[in-house]
Amino acid sequence: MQNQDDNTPQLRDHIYDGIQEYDQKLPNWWLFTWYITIVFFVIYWLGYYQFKMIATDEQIIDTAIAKIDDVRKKELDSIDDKKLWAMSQDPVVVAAGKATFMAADKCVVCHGADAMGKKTHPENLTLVGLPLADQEWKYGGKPLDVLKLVRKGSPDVTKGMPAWEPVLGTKRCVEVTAYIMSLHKEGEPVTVAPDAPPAGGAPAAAPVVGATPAAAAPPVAPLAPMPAVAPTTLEGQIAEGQKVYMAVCFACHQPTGMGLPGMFPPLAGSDWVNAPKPDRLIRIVLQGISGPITLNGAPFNTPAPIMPPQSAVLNDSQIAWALTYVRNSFGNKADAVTPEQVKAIRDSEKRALPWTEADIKLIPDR
Amino acid sequence: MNKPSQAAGKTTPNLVSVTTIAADGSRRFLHPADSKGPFLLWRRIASMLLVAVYVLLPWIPVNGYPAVFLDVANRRFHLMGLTFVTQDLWVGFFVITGLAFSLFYISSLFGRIWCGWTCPYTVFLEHIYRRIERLIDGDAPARRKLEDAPWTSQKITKRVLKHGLYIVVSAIIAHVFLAYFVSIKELYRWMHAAPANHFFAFGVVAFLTVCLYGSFSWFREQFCIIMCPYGRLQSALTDDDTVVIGYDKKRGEPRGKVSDPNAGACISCNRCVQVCPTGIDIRNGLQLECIGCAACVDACDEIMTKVNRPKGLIRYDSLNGLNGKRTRYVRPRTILYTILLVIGAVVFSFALSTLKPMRALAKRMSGSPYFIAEGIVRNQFSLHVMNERHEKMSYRVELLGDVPPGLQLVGANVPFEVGALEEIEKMLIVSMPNKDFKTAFHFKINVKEDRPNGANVIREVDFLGPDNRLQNNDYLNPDQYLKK
Repeated sequence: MQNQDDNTPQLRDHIYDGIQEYDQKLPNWWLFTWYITIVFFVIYWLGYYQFKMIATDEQIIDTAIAKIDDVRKKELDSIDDKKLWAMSQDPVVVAAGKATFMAADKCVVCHGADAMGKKTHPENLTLVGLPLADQEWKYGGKPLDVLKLVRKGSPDVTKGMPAWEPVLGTKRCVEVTAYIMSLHKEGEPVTVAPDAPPAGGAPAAAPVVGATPAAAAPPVAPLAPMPAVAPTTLEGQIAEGQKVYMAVCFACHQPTGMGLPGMFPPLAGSDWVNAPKPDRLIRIVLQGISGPITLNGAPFNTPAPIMPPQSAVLNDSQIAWALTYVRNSFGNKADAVTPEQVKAIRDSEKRALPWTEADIKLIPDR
Repeated sequence: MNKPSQAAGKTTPNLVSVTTIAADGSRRFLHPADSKGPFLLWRRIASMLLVAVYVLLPWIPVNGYPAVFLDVANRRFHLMGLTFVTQDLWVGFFVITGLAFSLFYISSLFGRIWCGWTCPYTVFLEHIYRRIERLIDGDAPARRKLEDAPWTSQKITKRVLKHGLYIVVSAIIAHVFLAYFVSIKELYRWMHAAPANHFFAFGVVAFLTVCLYGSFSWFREQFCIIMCPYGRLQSALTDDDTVVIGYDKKRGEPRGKVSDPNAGACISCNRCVQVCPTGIDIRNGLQLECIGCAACVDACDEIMTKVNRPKGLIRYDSLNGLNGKRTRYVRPRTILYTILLVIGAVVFSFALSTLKPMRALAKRMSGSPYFIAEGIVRNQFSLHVMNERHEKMSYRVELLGDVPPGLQLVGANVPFEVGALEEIEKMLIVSMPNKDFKTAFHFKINVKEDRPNGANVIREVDFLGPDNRLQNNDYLNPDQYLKK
């Protein structure tokens, strides 16, 4: 050490543009934390990215959700008709269920304090719920049937019964069911409501048309009848197609094919309808389409149209004829659509959800 | 730790290196001497007040909740009797930017006064931990001597005692910190349970305790010099008119003995260097390490009084003031800062005044947009009501303004209760006869507290129903449209 205070650093010889630097050392504690971060990086990199020993956030969430599902499943698995009947005799459970039922914003709003809904008070317009205390059941009178309805809501989405499990939780759904069953006796005679869906089958028509306003219009259009002999001429196909159109499609697109401004897009003069190849049209009919679209170069989005899927309602021939009718009416002129074309797309198309414009534009139409 | 203290004796602080870091990168541990004087007294009073505020806030109940209780678990934030919910947190933007801006404002006027007087780090270090050290190890020469001394039973006792006290104090500070988030009551309950029961909270407190102990027993002002970003920001905000701690070179130089008539006021007693906690020589001018603690001001004034010279050789003054010029407090910068601060305060007050003691939200229930049964069109909404008051409150819902005839809220005559600081979700049914429905329309729902002058929230929603052109059955007859 020169004749210098040990606090004074030495200047390095290197000079650049008149700038010199001192030969200073970093504080040891600083270097130490730096080395620690390097060690941490190696351990983390190996554990997280290479050997996947550290759980990702996604895995942690999945595990937690699986745990919740597991508990819920256990709660439900242990419940059967016998247990629910037993619960309906347990005053504590029934009282808890009654408290939920009678809460100002729960079951009592629609089903009434006597759980008879519109039956005993037809003058009260707010009691829109089905009677629960009589022996007539629409969706099955077994305790498990009732529990399912409380948990999941009405299978007919056009009715107002919402799914209560997300709001109440499984336990309170079970309690409410126990309360409802306490209004009944095990083994009492049960009748089936005249408007009940066929046993084992899907509830009538309603879920197919889903959330469109037309779905809630009271008269549901009868499905188009099938002709005894398939038409062979273009004229015959157009005539059959018109029948299908006037049974199903017209509700939104109107008998005139002009749609409703701001609600349902017109088919007359539509660049979608007059496309050389019907590949997009068939898919729209089969799977439906939702969200804003571009029609003849202008946006059609107020509100964004929702076309429900028709694959469950119409068969290949009906779709082909209806499209042929649409493509040759309202001033439109385009090639006929064959049932084979519809069948090919129905068999090969894997999409289940309604299309969006962006997705369907990937299908060539010329 | 033995060598550095010897080295410190030989070290002269300079402008090109940090005194507390030796040439080989090792830490040079300082033992600053005690200063005495009015600044120390006032700093100590201020610090004790701040510590008292920190410790007592979670204990003082206001409106049934601790004065400050950031209830993260329930997302309810209680501040001085007011309660905020997560949805109110946007107001926090003004609080945080306001605090930052105030720091800038003060710094441009008075330099790093925050660091020396109010920063929690300085407050805890200077007025708690250094006091403990002084109490057990004695004054600076005694501490240096003890550090170099062999490990006798006396030294071991003193070390165990000192570090034991450090850890106890650190644990107390960490526990109080946790109390801000879980409340004293809950904290007390947790402290009586096994650590495993509240492992996360236990971990937080243990981690904080270790950090506090490490920082205040060993790391000390290294934090202020090398790590703290606010210190850097404040240094950057200093200009020639900012009041800082400075040495009056014109009066002090040349340094010399008291008896030397040609010498300046500084008698080279080095007292200012000995008391400095960051180990700088303030006579070298304003430096990044200076945390504005004013220990050198007290030390110099004490000496000047002893040698019968006027005080203030080292004093609070601006660089202009130290050069004999006038310090300008009113300058474009401070005027601009004042205007901005006033604007911020006005906007903040306005923002606070818009907060209501309730929240309400109406959204359409999932499923069909509307239902028709027995000639009635029904729309179902999910109404979310949050009570931000500290008491149970009844609410009513009503339709507001000019609604079409026949539109009615189902069951609106029943008020519903929401518990203190609770929220509920309830179903809201709005209906009207199908024959009266022409087309979709907006209407307003008023959710109000069921009491005079109560708060209310108005929400606009849509009433949807079938298009009236779809309403009669003639329309469904294909014959009407088919070309014959």
